[in-house]
Amino acid sequence: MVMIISICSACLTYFLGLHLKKGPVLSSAIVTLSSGLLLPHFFIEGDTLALAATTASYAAMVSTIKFPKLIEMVAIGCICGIVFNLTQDVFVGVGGRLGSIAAIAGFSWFGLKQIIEKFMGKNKLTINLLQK
Amino acid sequence: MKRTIFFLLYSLVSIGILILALMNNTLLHSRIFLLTAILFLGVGLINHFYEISKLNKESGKEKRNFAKDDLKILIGSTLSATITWYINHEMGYGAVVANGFIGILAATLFTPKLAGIIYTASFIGMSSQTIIATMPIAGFTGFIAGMIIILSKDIYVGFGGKGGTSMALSTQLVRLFLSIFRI
Repeated sequence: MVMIISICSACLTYFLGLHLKKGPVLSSAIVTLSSGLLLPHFFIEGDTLALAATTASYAAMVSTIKFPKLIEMVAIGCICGIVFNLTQDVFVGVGGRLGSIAAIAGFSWFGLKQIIEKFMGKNKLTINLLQK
Repeated sequence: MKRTIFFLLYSLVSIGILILALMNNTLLHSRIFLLTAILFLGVGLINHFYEISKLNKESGKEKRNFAKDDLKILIGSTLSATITWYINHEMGYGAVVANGFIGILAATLFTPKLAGIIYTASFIGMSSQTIIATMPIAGFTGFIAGMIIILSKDIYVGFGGKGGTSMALSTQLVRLFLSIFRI
């Protein structure tokens, strides 16, 4: 459930921010506030899901220069969800923890892209992403 | 040099979280994932380091003067952290709602750049009371965070989570400072 919420949150934030041109702050804030208000009412583990959604929305506050496609938010959302689950006991209660997890997800995906581009060639990766 | 120092501090926060998670997790597949994440994170950071180095060469030894905009950043970050902490703990709405509310308010009232900084600084107010016990400490941490934002403008640019990393760094630095002076 964390993964699904993370992916949806990242994609929604990216879509609102860059496709609907609401800007990264407003789109992330909308997703964050909505998840904080709604998810605890619909799910038993709603508080945790709200935190996961918040984390993924921070990860989606990216520039199109480095992350040009919406589909990349699926990967970032996935990584975000997994890292969020695995780092529950780290930096507990520290403000900025969720954002740091978001940065880890963004950089990890960026690093993976760099490795794939090096081996596959830049054009092939771009074509693959475009076809998706 | 300043950019390099802040880049290293930011990287320390990011890699530190993964290493601490690696130490806390005993399952094999979790450890494999975390090690893989550290590898890809490392590649991403190395690439970003080259961007920072290029900026260092292009800008040379430019002297930075304290500008009016920097004052707005310091005031904004201090107030944002304080108000978010208040909404989170004193009003009892919780961290996520407090942060979301401040973000929408900031995006509506201020320029995109200042709104981003205010939204980022509100992460400090999301801290638990075991980390930031009182509103004045939240304000002080917000002020320090504002200084870090001013000094590390080019670090992690374009990546989501830049603000969070700088806020986590600020919070930990203030905790260290307060623990040294036993406040």
